[in-house]
Amino acid sequence: MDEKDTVILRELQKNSRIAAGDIAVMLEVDEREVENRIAALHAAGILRRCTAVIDYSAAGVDEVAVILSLKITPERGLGYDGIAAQIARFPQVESILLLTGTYDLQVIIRGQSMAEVSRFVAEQIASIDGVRETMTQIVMRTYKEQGVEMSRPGSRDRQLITF
Amino acid sequence: MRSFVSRMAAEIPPSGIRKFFDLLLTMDNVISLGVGEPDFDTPWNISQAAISSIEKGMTMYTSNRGLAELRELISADLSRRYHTKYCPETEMIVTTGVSEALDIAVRAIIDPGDEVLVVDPCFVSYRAEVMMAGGRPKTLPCRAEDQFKVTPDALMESVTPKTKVLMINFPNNPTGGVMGTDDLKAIADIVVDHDLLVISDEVYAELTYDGHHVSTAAIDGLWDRTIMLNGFSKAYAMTGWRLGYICAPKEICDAALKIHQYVMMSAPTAAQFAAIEALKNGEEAKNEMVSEYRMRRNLFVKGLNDVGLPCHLPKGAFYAFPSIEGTGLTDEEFAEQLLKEQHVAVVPGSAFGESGRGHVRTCYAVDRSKLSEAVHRIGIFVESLHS
Repeated sequence: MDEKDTVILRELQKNSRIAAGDIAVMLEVDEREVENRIAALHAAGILRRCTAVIDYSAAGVDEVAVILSLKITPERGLGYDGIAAQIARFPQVESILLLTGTYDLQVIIRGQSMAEVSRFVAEQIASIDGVRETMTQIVMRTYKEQGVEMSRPGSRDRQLITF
Repeated sequence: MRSFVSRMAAEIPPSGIRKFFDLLLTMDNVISLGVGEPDFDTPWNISQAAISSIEKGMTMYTSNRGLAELRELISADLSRRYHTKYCPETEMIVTTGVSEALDIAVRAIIDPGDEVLVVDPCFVSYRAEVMMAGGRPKTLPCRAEDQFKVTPDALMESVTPKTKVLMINFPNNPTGGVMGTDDLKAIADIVVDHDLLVISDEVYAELTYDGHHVSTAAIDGLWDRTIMLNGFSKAYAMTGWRLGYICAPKEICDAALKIHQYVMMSAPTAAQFAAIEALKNGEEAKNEMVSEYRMRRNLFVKGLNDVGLPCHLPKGAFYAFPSIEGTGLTDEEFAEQLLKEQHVAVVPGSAFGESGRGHVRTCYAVDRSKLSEAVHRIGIFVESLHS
């Protein structure tokens, strides 16, 4: 990882669809080099996936997200890793974080309806051996996600000509 | 009834492109490359510092020179970047934008009839400022083939025994040209030999992309002949806050302070608190914006060259200044037709002086998707001229 790789990663994080040729012009290197670097970052497991930030509420799609806080009894030899890996297998689970404080794991789950998410939590997560306690919070509104401010208008009034 | 307008006000030419601007207001779907300001919001911590100062009731005048803490931070910042030693007590005034700094600088040193060599092309206020002070602006031409620098030859050709002041601005609006150490050293002897004072507007200093900005005040023999102007607008995306500063040797600074006291009292207080935060905790946000401008510059300038508008890679500010001479149009015609036909606004180079003729100023402080759309539209326009 050098400075150029850092710039490439930052650019992809801002816009995963940016053309390698554009990054090449910005970095003053040739396009082939950018492609090679991106491939190397993939191969090294540094660049995991190029994705999109979507505001489903803007599309009028109902979607439910909950934040599930879990208290876990650590397993001998594995600590929290075994249970976390088990939870991570479910496609409904968007993220899992190990935290300090009252709860051990914070799990974000998405689904089509509250009923679906409730069933998933009750049947699949709460029932795991080692999960001692759960607290489920419903996401009411997303203000900012992956650096994108969702509720902010995209353009402002600006003078068209200034010197 | 007689006309009450002063002769001075009547004689100052209006800014060149009023007609063009009126046309612009009647159109929609315009991509404007005609601005001279960052497209970023002021970094939030900076805005928050001002809000918090207001909440605490710190809404009084400050000292005429500006908040002491701010002046100390400015002095330290300049010393870190240029190794200059400006005394925050006696050699610095915080002003309402660089515009005011320019105004009090000019009025502090110009007597009626004094000749001022003004770099050309330049920001539209310079000549008007000189005229309002009763001085006589003279053109110091900079050419594309010199990357729009001031060359010793051009300076020698323009300087006369009546010349008192040299007014420069690097990185330059509108050309994006810069002057490095060697370039400034090359004109320093002429400045000293002719006993000139330099007004150096360095408001784009932080927007220098290849290498570091060199301050005129940091050149051997020029410190006590330099009035340095700078501000927060461009580097920290703070144009609307109106905050700048002037640094000069004590005698000149004292004179400028008198004018500042009478016309302005003090710079806006909330903006000064914001500026303190900018200098304390704004470095990272500033660097991020600068690196974004740099990347846009590379993309945009390549785009202009690709569609047939030859353009040097500008080393500073956020302007590209392509030549449009190959199109067979004048810069005014080019700007007007481009606006009418493709809804892209650029500023004719001649609005910035004779040496800007045959060029247009394009500002790339515009988000990347709009920039590439603008390049696309300019390409269609240029192509249509050849068919």
